[in-house]
Amino acid sequence: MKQLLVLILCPLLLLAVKPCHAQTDLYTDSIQRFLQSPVPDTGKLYLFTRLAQLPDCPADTLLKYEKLFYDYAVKHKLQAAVPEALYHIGLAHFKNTGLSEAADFFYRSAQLWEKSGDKPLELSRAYELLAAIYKTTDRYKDALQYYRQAYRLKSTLNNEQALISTYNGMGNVFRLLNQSDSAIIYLKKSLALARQAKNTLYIAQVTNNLGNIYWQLEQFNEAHNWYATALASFEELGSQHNIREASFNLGMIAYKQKNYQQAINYFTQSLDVTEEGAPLEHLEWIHQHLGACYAALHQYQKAYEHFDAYDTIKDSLFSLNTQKAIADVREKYETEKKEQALKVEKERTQNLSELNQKSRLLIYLLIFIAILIAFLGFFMVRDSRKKRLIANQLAEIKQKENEQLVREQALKANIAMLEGQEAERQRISMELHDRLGGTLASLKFMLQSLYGKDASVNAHSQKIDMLLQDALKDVRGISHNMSVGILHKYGLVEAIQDLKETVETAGNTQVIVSMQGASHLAKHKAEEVYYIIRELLTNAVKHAKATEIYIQCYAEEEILLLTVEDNGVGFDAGLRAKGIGLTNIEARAHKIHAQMDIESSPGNGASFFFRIPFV
Amino acid sequence: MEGFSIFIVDDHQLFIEGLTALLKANNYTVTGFANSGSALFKVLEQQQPHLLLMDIGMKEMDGVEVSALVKKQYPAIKILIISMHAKRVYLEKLIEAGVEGYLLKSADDEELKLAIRCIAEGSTYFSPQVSDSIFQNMVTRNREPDVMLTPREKGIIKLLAEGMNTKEIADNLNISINTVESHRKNVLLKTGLKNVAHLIKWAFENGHL
Repeated sequence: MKQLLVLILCPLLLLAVKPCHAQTDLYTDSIQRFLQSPVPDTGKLYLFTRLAQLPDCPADTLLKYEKLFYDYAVKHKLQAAVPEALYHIGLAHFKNTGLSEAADFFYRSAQLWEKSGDKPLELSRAYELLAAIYKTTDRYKDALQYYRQAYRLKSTLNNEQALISTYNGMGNVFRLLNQSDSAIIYLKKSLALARQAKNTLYIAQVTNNLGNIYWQLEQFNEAHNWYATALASFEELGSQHNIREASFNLGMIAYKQKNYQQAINYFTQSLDVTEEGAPLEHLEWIHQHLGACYAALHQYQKAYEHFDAYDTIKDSLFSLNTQKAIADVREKYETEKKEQALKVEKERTQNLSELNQKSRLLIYLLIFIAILIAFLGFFMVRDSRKKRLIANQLAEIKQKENEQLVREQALKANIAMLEGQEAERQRISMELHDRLGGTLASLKFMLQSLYGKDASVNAHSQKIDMLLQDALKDVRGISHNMSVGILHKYGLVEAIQDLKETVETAGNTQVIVSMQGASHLAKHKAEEVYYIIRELLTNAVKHAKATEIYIQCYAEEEILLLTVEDNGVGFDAGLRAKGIGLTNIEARAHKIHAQMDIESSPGNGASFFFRIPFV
Repeated sequence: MEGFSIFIVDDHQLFIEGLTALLKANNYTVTGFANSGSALFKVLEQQQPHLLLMDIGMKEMDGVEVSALVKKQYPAIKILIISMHAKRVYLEKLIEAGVEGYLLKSADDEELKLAIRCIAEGSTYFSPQVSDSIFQNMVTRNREPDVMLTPREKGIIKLLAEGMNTKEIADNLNISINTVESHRKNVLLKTGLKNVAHLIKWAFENGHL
């Protein structure tokens, strides 16, 4: 808002101030006063800045103001104002012939404008000023470079007038490079534009420069014409030191052409306008040449006066010249040093920015890698955790499997043992039953065949018979083990029936059997079921002292339900340590994939439930 | 007993000799012996004795099978089983095959002579020790109802009739729910009834309640 106000107010104020711009003291004082106020008003600041930029403002004031303006612009981040301030600070230094400082500020402003790209005219001016500095320090090629850059920029602006100074500058550089043709072309271009614009200052300067070229080319008439034009323009402008220079140049031409009177006139004009503080060399030269002219015209009195003045000036000049030469060299050196520093700085900043960029890239890369590592880490941790979990689960499963395997192995061993036992039992009972029984029977028959023949045998016949009968009965008692033969020959139902009969025959236990659907059981399963039932019967009779045992089988679709109940003493089904009988039963049940349930409590009998799949 | 030839089939040589000695001492004509079914059939092709004294427990074919075969091929030959076994199953099968008698090896010479005489006269002889078991079995079988219930099953049906559910029955009988379920299933299966209501009705009608 403030900026906008300033922009509107400034032209008005400028107009108001303009009439008195020549009165240097007035605004110098104003600026001084303004500078002393603690809080500068923005509007006023801008106004005075613009005033300070007017040609008549002393360089010191301009410098102070622009510095203030610069600080202000930086503080308030007025980006557009910063290069402008820098430019004007440079300009102030330029005016003060602080060329190296000026170059420094021009560089800085040019850099900022290059960056923003929105002030081509200002930028080209900065370039031209830099070119001027190079030109002054005898670095013509560099100067030309900057002029060309300015030219390129300006030619995009559709403003030919702006090119006046550029062409002029280029022409001058070409002149200094002794490329007269190019110099003349450019200077004439500049002159044409200046004339078009009726810009007397430039007309004067350019024509003067043209004069200089022809002077160099020793085309004195041509030179004279241009110098004369320049002089007229300078006179129009009232620019004393230029009049001095131009008239001196004209005088020199006249002198060269031995037109001594004319030369004297010009020299005298030049001498007249030579103000206080003008370079002593000028006076030296004028006096020297005036002396020569008068001598040529044989006016020795005047010649002497001028030679005398020339001598005096020459003496004082000697020391001055020495000093100046030293100062010049120092200036050039300083400029170069500044430039070098600037270059170094530029390289440094570039390196820095490159470094920054590199380090930024590095940082990005590091961040990326860090993120990547974090991701990978996360996944790896998750993975490893998962793996560990899976491994644990696997280990658990494996352990379970192992346990299962061990159990199965134990069961298998048990079954193998059972089968071995069973086979052995069968073999022994067969031996006992058939062999021993047969032997006993044959012994008995043999003895009986002897009765009546041998009196000594007869005496004991009854006793012998009784003993043999007992022995045979005992042997037959083993026969319940022989039921397995019935199982194989006549099936499970008959075998169980036989078991029942055997048990019932042997004692007081009643076995009630109801076998339905059992005949459909596969042979190997039937055998196991037979052994299970036989074991349960043995347990019930021997251990449980049961008097009633119920054996039931019912088929329920794919399952044979086997229930064996007894009214014996029972046991604690929860606490029971598996007796060998029960372990064997479990092993056999497992072998035929049967599910076994036991219900028993002390004094309550026992119930065994088996779910035997047919398939 | 003139003209009544006896042939012994047994895989126990000592027994054959003992028996032969006894028979010869009692003036029986023993025409020979065989240690197995196959040996017997070879002899039978040449000569057919009147009576075979047959053991049951033999390798390869047992006496039951051999008897059945002999009776099929040579129905005229009479068979007296002399075995250590007193198994009902064997006896039933042998009767089915058509043997004329059954003696235990523990029998004395008097019983042997009696058995041979009975058979020779065209009658039969079955050792009372064996025939008793058959009768016993037949008696118990007839006594058993078509559907028998165990005491536990009866208890459960009773509690079901009182309106208890499975858990209450389990608590009441101090058994697991699983056991109650198993019993209940058994009862329904053996009675062929569909549900508990039918079961209670059936139990009541059949005097189980």
